Amino acid sequence: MTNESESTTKQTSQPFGVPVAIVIAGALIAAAVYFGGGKVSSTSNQVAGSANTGNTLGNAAAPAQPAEPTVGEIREIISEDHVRGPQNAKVTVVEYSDLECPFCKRFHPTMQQLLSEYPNDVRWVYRHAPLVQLHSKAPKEAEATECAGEQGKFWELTDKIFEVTPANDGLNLDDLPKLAQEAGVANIQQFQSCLDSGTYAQHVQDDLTDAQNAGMRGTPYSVVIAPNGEKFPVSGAQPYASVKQIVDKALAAN
Amino acid sequence: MNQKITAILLLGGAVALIGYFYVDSRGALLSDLQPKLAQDALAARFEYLSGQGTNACGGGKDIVKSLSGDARMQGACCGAMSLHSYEEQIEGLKKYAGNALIPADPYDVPVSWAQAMIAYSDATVLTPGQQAVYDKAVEMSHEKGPCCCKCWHWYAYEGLAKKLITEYGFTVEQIAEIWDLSDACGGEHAH
Repeated sequence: MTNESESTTKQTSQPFGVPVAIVIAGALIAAAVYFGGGKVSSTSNQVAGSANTGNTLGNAAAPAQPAEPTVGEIREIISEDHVRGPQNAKVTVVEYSDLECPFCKRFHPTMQQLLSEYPNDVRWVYRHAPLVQLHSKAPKEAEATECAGEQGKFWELTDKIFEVTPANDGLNLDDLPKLAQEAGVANIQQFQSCLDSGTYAQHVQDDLTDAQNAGMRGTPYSVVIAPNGEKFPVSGAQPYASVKQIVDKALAAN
Repeated sequence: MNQKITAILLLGGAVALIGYFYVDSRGALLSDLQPKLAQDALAARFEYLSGQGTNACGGGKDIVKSLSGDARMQGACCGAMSLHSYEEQIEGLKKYAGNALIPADPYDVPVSWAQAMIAYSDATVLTPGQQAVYDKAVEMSHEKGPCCCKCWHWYAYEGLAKKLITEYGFTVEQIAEIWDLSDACGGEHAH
């Protein structure tokens, strides 16, 4: 009887042992697959193929906030500056540009659009920043616009050059008098003489120095100045929506 | 007794089946998630790099020579980065991941690499045959060369092309494709 009882006890305990073992084994396998899969997933989370150059693709996203670019010293707006838009505009955009830079060419219509959409609130100050290491013709073209400016046609020739140049020194400098004429410069002989004499070479250089002092590291580079004097940098040919956003922010900064 | 064994086997089978389908569904779920996670990581990277400005075109190649080798040229030099173009570039460059010389992300390049490539470019004169490959790649590429302007990027990727032609036998098409995919100016590109 005792033996039968023991036998029954064994028989009743065995059926639970096997399923429990299966469940535990299943749970262990499931856990291994789950956590193993998780690791695979997080590894593939990082973009691959960067170790070859010491590239820190995974780590690059680590800093939460990129360093905010800062604006350096900017020369006051002077009578020699070329200003488009109302003199009493609330916001001033100082643009440093290179007439042979493809992205400056791309950005020029953006600035034109800005002025057409903010006819009372924004003025555009254009300063030269010819990157001679990249575009050897740009300084002379900048001088040409200044010579056209003597006859009140600075903006007209600037618009014209950006319109016709293929960029990257693609413009023939011999075409400058013809372009000046098309831009409305009346006295081409005076224009040519001005260009040949290098009258504005120093002015162009002064603008470039100002650009470097302002923090320019490439062209185009613009600084949006709010009514309260706060300055917002715009690096590169940013799309219109981005520039508009900065201008709206500047307008709100009273 | 037989009934008990049958019950155990059925129970075990049920557990195994449930376990199998559970694990399978988890696996499927994870495999579905992986591309999304990679996409999110790339988008986060894009967000970070598009706010960086150490990749500057002003100063030509001298800017690279003046920097510490530990630094990185990050971000776009001239325009706003486009996520769509960035994704296409990163994906396209994976084709060349086997070659350690070719940066996987043109918007995040070690200065030490750029310095080495510029030095190689300065020191290397191609043979007429190699020069023909280089010149044809210039013609074929979107920007008619390694970059839109002769900035540091131009000279670094010129050096890369010279090295790939002379030491690895890269073709015209490969050089042009690498230049196109390695554009770091910003803006939309049609690749």
